Amino acid sequence: MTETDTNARTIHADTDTALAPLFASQPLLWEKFRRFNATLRHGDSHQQRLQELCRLRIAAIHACDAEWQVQTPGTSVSGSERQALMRGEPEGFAPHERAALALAEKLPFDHHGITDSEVQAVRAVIGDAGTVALMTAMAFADVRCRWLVTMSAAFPSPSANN
Amino acid sequence: MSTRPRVSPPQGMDTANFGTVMQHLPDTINAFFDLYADFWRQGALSVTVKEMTRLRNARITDCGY
Repeated sequence: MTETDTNARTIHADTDTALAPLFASQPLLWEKFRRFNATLRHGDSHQQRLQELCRLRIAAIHACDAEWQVQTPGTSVSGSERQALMRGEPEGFAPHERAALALAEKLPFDHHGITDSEVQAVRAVIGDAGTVALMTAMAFADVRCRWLVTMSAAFPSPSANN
Repeated sequence: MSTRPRVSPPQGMDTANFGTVMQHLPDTINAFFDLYADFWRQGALSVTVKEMTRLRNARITDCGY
């Protein structure tokens, strides 16, 4: 997977575009999944930006092109920020964003390695409900990536055709 | 790994567990259970096979919950 400012400005309007082919034979399940997915966006613009940063970092960790190219509507992540997320370089982000990204860094493959203090650093900023929302959104970003990567042989991501 | 709950349940709930903590996001957990129920009901695989894969996944990810 490669990343440039150009493809950072595109491609899917939301995660639905990437996931729809996986549910083609299960329309009712697809509708319920979309409804569930829509509830994952939580809080004000700052909390939604945290979710977006973490989602992108998880996509980068999984090398999941289809999830990476999603740009969640209403969130703003610059091209240079996306490149930093791709490289796993959180230094340029705000302290509370780095705290959230520390969780995202471990969630996919080192979830038992997440410490109480790392969670507390996020909880101190966004509270209990915000922390639950962020962790849930990250967990399902992880699920989507695993899903998409696993199924990519059968359903190539739309970007593969670009 | 934590040995104690990392977030508190909403006011009025005593014990922090998956069910109570997720009540911070009632729309999300209700939509999840609606989806999850259909996932178990639908599809080509039997419930037995789904349960085996669920348990194996829980072991691999070391999730005692």
